[in-house]
Amino acid sequence: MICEKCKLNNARIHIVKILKGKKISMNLCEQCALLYENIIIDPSGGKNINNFVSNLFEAIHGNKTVGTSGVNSIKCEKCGLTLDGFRKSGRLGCSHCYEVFKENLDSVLEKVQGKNVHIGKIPQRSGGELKTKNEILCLKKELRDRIKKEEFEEAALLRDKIKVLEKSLAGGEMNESK
Amino acid sequence: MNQNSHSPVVTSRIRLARNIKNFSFPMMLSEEKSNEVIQEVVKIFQHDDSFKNNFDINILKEIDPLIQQELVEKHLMSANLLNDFRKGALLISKDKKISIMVNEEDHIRIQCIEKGLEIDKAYGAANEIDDFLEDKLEYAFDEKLGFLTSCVTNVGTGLRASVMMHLPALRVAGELKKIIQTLSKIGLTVRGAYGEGSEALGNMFQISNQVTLGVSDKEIMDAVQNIIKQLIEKEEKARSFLLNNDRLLIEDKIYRSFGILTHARILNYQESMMLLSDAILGVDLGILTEVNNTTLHYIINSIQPASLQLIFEKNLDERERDIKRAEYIVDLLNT
Ligand SMILES: [Zn+2]
Ligand SMILES: [Zn+2]
Repeated sequence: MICEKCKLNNARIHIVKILKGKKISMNLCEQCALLYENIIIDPSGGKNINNFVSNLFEAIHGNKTVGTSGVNSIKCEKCGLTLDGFRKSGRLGCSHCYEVFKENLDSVLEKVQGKNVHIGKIPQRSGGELKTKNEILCLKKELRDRIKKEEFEEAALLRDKIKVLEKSLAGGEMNESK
Repeated sequence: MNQNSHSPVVTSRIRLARNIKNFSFPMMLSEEKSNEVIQEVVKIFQHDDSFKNNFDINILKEIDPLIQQELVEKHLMSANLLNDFRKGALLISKDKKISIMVNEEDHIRIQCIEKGLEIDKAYGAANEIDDFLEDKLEYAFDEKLGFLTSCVTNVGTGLRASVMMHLPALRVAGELKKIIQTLSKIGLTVRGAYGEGSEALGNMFQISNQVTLGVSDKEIMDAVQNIIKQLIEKEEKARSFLLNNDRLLIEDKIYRSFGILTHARILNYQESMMLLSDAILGVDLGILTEVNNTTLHYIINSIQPASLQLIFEKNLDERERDIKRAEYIVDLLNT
């Protein structure tokens, strides 16, 4: 039987609900059942969220990582977490895990988050370079505007600012831009 | 409840998840390494005069299990932190609005709670702590994925914005299920704020964002705020519908509940929460004038097992707790 929601996977879960006195039954795949049940209400107060990721992981990747040697031996050399450990806990062991388990993570990230690029707060220190790059982009845009308006004095000031900022970035990039 | 005390909104909560670069996440940390993380964080607070005087630092394994439990009941820390309490610490501001969990699922979890619909204010306070810590520590941050967290459900902003709401009328009207499903489609989750499972004791619900990546901090908060405003409207509509439909029936229910609260000799937790929910609704609707919401919410925060035992300063079994709970509530409501 095919899943009634995604109409893609095999429906292995049968859900019966009584809604306003009416019996509703549905045949869903593991993945859709999870989305239908767990995401909608997480009554455990977040306690099951790791289970949720772990289940989702299973739903997406199946059991194909078990028994097939090679895949199973993936392990983060920094923290020691294995792919199997990640699957069971639904949690990553360290920053480096994000690279080690990248292939397995992408699909889970897509399901959980929908998007894959951060656009929120940037830390001053770790993101200092990123911030500078963004600032340079903004200044360059302003520079073009000023030149268009023939405000050359202001443009010259902006150009100096951009130079200082670019100097503060890595030296390699400086050579390229010349 | 200071300002709009008759709003269905109880509290607004912001939580930021952060990890320190070059340390494994708590799950993969030894007890020894966990202590290093605690020291890193504690050191920063101790070296800053204003923060030093404003925060209490608790090393979890050094505090009484009953007090640990009480902190969970009062939403100052998560039950998760207790799973591995030997590795954790908890910093709490003197006004109890800000708490910082060390070595829960992530190294640092900054939480700020404000009464009423004050998401921005709560974020402001949490953000200030975040900037302060970030000035002294290097966070695990990735240009593409943002703040790295142990669970992928928090990666990106690491931001969870939650609002606790009291929604008795929507629950009675049977509209909650539909609302919850709609909210889930736009990336919000709803769960009970008290109690296990889906029981949502006292009709208290926690509404929060689910997605943390690919959206800015502000977008997350605006989305939650928008929905909360709509929910307030829906709840208020449902309340006036109930009143117009059969005012006497509502008054009867509220006064019965208040009668039990002020006269019962044995009260279990579930029943107490149900009765308190009726009483709060009664105050909101202007039916019940013998009590105010500040007192009722104060009671809600004091009648769980650990809190109750700390109030009476002794160990109580379940039956003793139900008796003491009734005694405590009757006492507070009759003075
Ligand atoms: Zn499906
Ligand atoms: Zn790792």
